[in-house]
Amino acid sequence: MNDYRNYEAEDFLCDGFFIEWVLNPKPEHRVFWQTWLSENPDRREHVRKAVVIIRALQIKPNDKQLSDQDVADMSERFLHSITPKHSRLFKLSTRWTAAAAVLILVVGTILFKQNRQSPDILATTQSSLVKVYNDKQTPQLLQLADGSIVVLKSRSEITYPLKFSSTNREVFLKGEAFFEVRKDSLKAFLIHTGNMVTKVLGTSFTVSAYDGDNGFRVMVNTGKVEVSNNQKSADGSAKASVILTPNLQTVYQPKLSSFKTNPVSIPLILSPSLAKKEFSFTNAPLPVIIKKLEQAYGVTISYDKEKYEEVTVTASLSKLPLDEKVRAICKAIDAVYEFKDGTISIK
Amino acid sequence: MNGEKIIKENLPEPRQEDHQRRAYTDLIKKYSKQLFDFGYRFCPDEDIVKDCIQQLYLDLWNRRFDISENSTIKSYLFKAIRNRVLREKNKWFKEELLEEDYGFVLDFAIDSKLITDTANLELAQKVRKAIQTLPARQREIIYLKFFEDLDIQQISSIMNINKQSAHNLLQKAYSSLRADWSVLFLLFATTLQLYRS
Repeated sequence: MNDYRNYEAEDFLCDGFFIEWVLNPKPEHRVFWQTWLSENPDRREHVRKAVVIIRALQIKPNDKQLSDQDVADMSERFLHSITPKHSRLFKLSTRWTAAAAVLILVVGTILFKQNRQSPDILATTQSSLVKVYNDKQTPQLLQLADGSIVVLKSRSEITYPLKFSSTNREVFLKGEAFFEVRKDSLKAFLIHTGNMVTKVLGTSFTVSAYDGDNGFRVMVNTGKVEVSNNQKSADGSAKASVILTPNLQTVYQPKLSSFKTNPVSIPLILSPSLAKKEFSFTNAPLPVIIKKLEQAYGVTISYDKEKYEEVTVTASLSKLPLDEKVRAICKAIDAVYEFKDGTISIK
Repeated sequence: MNGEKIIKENLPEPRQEDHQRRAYTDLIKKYSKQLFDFGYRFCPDEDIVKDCIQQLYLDLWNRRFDISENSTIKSYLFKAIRNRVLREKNKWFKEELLEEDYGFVLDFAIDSKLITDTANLELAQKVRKAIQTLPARQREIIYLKFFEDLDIQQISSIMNINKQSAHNLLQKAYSSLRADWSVLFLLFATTLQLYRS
C-alpha cells in the first residue's frame, strides 16, 4: 500500500487502488479508504477533487453499437446453424442481410489454365449442379439458393449447386457477371474464375472471365472482397491476394503474378456514397426509378408502361438488394413481381 | 461475475443439449454488446466485428465448449474476440497496419455537470489528454481494468501476457500519466511566465 499521507488530487488520480475505489468499489477498498479518510481529515478536499474528476471522465461511446435487434439476429443465426438440417426452420431475418449487401463487378480473363472444371470441388457436395450459359445479347438475371443475385452477361457461363453445402457457397464463372451476395457470416461466398478466387465478406459484385480473354478484373460497389490467385481455395495462404473496398478495381497481371489496384474513374452507381443519392426517390415517376434500376444492375424490367406512367413513388432503396428494391416498389404501387427467364416483370 | 452464476443456475443438467442451447443463447444475450464494444475499439468495422462474434459462438459450440463449467467465461470470451478481431483486421487491412501498433480507440468526454469550477475542469482535461497520448496497450489495459472491472489475472490472460507484465503495464500507464502532466504543467507555467514578462 502506498503512503498516501502527502498525496494531492493529482497523485490520487494516478493511483490504481484509489481509482478502483471510485469506479468499482469492493469491500477492501471501502474499509481502507473510510478508515484512511477519518485518520487524515486534512486530505479530504484533495480526495473529493480527485473523485469528482474521475467520475466526470466518461468513455465516449463508439460510433457503432450492437443493437438489441443485432443481438437477437445473432442468437437466431446461432440456433439456425447448430440445428441439424432436416429439422431446420427457415426463418431468417432479412434485416441484416439487406443492410449488408456487397456489390462487386468481376471482369476476369484468363490466360492460364482455363480447363479447371467446377466438379472437382463440388463433387464433395451431394447437391446437383446447374450450368447456365447466356447465349442472348442481353444480361440474364438469376437467383441462387441463398437468395444472392447474379446478373450474367452475354456469352458468359455460371455453374452453381442447386443447394449450397453446409460450409460455403461456391460458384464457377466463365465470362462476366455482377453479383449481389447475401450476407451469411458462416458460409463464405467464393467465385472461381480460372485460378482466381474472389471471396466475399457478404454482398454483391461483378466478375468476368471470358475464354481467350487476357485480363482478370474485379470491381467493387459495396462491401469487401478478397481476390487471390490461389490454386486451391481462398484459405489465406494465397500466393498473391488483394483486398478490395468500394470504388476500387483490380486487374491481375499474370506475368508479374500480382494485382494492380486502382480507384475506378467514375464512382460506381451502387457504391454507398452514390447509391444513397441515386436511390432516394421523392415523388419520382415509376419509369424513372425502373430506368435507374435497369442501368445500375444491367437487367431488364418489364411493366405496363401506360398503367404506371403517372405513378410516383417515394422511397429510399439504397441499402436493399435488387429483389428487395423491386419488392419495396411493388408494395408501394400495389403490384406483384416475378423473376422469369432472366428478367424481372412487374404486374 | 453474477452472470456466470446465473448461467450455472440455468443449467441443472448441463450435458443435455437443450440446456446447453439455452445457456448459449443466454450467453449471446449477455456478452455480445460488450464484446462488440471491445472488438470495435481495435477494428472500427462493424461487419468484421459482428462476423467475429458470430463465428466465435459457433466455434465454441462446435468444440463442445461447456460454458457452464467455465468460471472465467468473460475473460475467455474477451481473449477469443481480441485474437479473432486482430487476425481478421490484419487480413483485411494489411497495408495500413504498422507492426506492433494494433490501435485501440479510447476517448473520453468530460461531464461538465459534475465539474463546476474551472480549476477542476482544467485538471480533468489534462487527464483526458494524457490518457489519449498513452500507447494502445496502456489504453487497452485501462479499459479492461476500470471499465470492464477485470482483475490482473483475467487481463493478463486476455492480453496474452503474464501476470507480472500486466501489472507492470498498468504501473507504466499510471506513471506515464503522471509524467505527462508534469510536462503539461511545465508548459503551462512557462506560458504563464512568458505572458507575464
